[in-house]
Amino acid sequence: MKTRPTLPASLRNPMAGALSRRQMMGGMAAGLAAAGMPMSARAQAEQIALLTWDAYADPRLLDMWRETTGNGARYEIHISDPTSVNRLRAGETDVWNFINLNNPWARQVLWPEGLIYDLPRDRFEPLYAQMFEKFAMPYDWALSQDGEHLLGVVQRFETFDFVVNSDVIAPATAKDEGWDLFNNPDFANRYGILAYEDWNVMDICMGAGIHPYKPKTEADYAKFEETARRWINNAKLITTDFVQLNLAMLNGEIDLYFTGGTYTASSARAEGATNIYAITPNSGPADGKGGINWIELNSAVANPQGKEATLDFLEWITTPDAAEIVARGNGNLQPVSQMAQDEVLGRFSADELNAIQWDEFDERIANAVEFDIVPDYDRLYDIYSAAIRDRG
Amino acid sequence: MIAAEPQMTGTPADTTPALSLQRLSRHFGATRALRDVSLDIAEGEFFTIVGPSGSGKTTLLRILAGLDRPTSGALLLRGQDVTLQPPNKRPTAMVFQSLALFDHRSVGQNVEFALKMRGVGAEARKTRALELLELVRLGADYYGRPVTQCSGGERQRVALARALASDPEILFFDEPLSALDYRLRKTLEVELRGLQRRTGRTFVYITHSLEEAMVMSDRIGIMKDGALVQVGTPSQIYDRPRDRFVARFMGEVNILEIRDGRLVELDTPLPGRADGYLVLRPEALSPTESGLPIRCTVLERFQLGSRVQLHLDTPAGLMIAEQPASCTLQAGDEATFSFDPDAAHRVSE
Amino acid sequence: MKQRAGYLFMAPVALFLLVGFATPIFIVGWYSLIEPRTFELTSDLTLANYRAAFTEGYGGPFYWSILGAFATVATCALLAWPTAKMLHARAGRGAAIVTGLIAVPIFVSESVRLFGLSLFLMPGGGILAGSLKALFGVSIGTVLNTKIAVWLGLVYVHFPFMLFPLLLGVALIPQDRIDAARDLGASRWQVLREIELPLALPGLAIGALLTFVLCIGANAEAAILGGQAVTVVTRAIEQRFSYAQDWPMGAALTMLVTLVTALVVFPVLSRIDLNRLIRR
Repeated sequence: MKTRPTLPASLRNPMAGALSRRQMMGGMAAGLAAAGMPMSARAQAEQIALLTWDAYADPRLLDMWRETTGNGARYEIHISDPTSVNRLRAGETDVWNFINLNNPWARQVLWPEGLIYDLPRDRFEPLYAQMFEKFAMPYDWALSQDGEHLLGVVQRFETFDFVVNSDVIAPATAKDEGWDLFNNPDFANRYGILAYEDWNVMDICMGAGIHPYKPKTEADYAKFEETARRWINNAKLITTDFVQLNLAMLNGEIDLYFTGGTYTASSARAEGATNIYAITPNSGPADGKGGINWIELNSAVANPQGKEATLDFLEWITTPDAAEIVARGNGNLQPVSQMAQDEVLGRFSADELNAIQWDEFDERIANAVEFDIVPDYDRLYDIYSAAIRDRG
Repeated sequence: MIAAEPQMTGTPADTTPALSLQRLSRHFGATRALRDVSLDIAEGEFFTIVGPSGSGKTTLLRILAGLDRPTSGALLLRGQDVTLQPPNKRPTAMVFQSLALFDHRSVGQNVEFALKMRGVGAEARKTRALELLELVRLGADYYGRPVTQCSGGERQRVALARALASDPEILFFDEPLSALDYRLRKTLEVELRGLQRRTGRTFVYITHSLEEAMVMSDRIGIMKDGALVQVGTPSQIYDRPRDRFVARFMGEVNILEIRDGRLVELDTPLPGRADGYLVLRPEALSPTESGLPIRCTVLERFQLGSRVQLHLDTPAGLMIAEQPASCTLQAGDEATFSFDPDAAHRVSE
Repeated sequence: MKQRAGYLFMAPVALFLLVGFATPIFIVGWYSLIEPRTFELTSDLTLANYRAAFTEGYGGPFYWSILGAFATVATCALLAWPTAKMLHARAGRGAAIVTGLIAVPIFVSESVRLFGLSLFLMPGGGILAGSLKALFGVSIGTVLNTKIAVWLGLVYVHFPFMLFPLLLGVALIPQDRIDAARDLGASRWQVLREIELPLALPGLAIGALLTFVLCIGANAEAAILGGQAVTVVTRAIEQRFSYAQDWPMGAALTMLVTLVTALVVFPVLSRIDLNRLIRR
């Protein structure tokens, strides 16, 4: 049996465990800020503030940054993409310096609404030349819609779909079956749900045969609701902690779970549980694809205080040493765009590359549609959360 | 309902004691709180156990009531062994030193408690409670009153009514009057004795006050260090204490040692009496020369209503005498007191 | 002079309550009255969120939270009563150690304790199942990810909150009242009902209220042990505040939970004499 990593779940995963009272209070504090009331914590001149996913909160990364530049850094981990977007909208641009969100947000929301700075192209475009071919300039997700402005630096990326126990379900079969595995009555009560709820909504679209990023018809909503209720009621367990799901899989309680991918499987695989296997379907309803490929874009929040330090940070994280820590962020293994360089890739052992299923990584990316903003997300989410409430 | 006469029990009342204590002992760890106490208490008797604090009388009473179990020995209630019977199965009731009234209940609910526990209906309970309140001289208007609003004497009567409610064959009293002021205590002592006469029930009463015991009891048992040292009627015990402890306990006395035919402290011959101690009550000393004389100086004079108490400095140390108030001796006077050594009670230890 | 000093002494706590309690409630109350999924406190007020609370399937979460709270209060009371009686009767060094052992978990993060319990209950490789398998060759299933597990977790986490007030309550029962009741013919059961429970009521009520209020707001048990076999109201509120970004709806639900809590707490609180507990 695998031992649970010793890091607190809240560090590994922003949504792990309960929404604590402190988080609630944090939410209330943000509410006060939104209401135009004073906030006590402000970004300091030499200190940059990160509103980030967990890899950039790794203490080794922040220590190295401090040693290299003498600048401090503090951070808060996202709850979800839309939550953090709303925080910037609510006036927290003067609280944060660095934000990393999945691919569509910078181009479609943050830049049009003036919430982030553009980056000096002469300084930052060369960084893209050191990445995989996929990211070669002009790379749309990093550019404004008119193609004029560079909005951030790409680093972490992967496909995020579902995870199976390869001892029970052969990966080849799982890829062929795709999302229909969860429609199969044989697997009712044999799967779990990782409650990254915005992702669950996209997955349920896929399972209902709907393109998640295209507008929906009323028939689509009905199909979505039917699928959502069935999938949620048939789930053995729902949790915000992927370690719990991996353990349930190792204990034989479940055979598969969604949402998941290298991010949730790699640490268990690195410890030898290679039957925990991330799957990207070979096909699906999104332009023929069933996988979803997220790419994080690291951007500079439109906050004049600490702007220079933030640009330095954005450049610095692409250096091999920093990129390696990001790839190993908080005990996880996660592909980064700099692995295109032998100098970075060479730092990972064969076992580690097996943990991130590197040999089929290109195939997974090829079978995935790129993460985008879900039109009418609110309506879909309300259907989803009503189904959650009805469970039990 | 309270019977005016003792109930017939099938066996003659004079042969089967209401309560028979057979070699009761109780040890708490190494402490022997009770040692081999044996005693029969007759049907309808008012029996008082007297002893200083720590003498084991409360331990004894708790065993009699079933609130504690003896380490060894047996307890027979009308011939039936009840040693191991729990308190709620015994036809006895107790009035506690603290009274242990249920402060969260009204006077009426307190009085009715035993009946409610026996499943008596509400109507019958109330009728009985009002009757009992009458009996203990509390009016019917006390019925609904919270016990927390009652005075000390009223609480006393509520506790008594509560104990009487189930018509118990034996009532136990654990110094229930000790917290009351003198006048109230006197009144209640008389009432309690009257109640016992009217109901004909067996009362077992414990107190550290001899005066209380004297007023109320048919018989008295004196306890010391967990053992009964003397049992008898009040006059037997008063007149013929078994030893110096009982004598001293019964009130202020003068004790003179006899050894080899002499009174040791007074250095006076006293032929014909065995070795031991003479117990002289204060009233046995008089300022005449009709008996054995003692030369002394009056140290203090205390007025006790119709009598005076004199503290005397004698060759045997401080002695106490009592005289009618007409006595003219004052502090500082030289005097000769005397007593009749033949009438004086002798104890051997 | 004396009067004025009394009010002055009240000032710090009054200020604290105003800032720490009244103001947040006021803000949440205000939020609950604005349009769903908006953040403009200056917009027109509406009852839409409260209507939605009664029409959009929030009954389930309320039901499970309230049922869970009542079930936990009852179970904890049943477990804590004999424990409190025993600890009170054997007051001394041993009791102090037992009391301390029961208190220690309060100082450990609730999530950590629940993860521990989850490891204990896990099938196959779990501590309970694994030990039984290794020691006796017995294979057992698991209650993990069921409603039973949620209930177990709630009881496990909240037991001390029932026990400690109850210890104070049990200390309010004078032994002589129990003796008197026994002597007057009460069976042990009657003594419990007529004497001990009424006299210990202040402690029991405080313990029950603490447990109830904490359980109504509990989420981690259902999340960590229950695999969300049920959705509790805190979870439903969390969804509105996080993924849904629907603060007004979350605020309305929060106000309703506060109301339910108040409806339970105030009637009970008004019936118990706190002074008895303190003066003891």
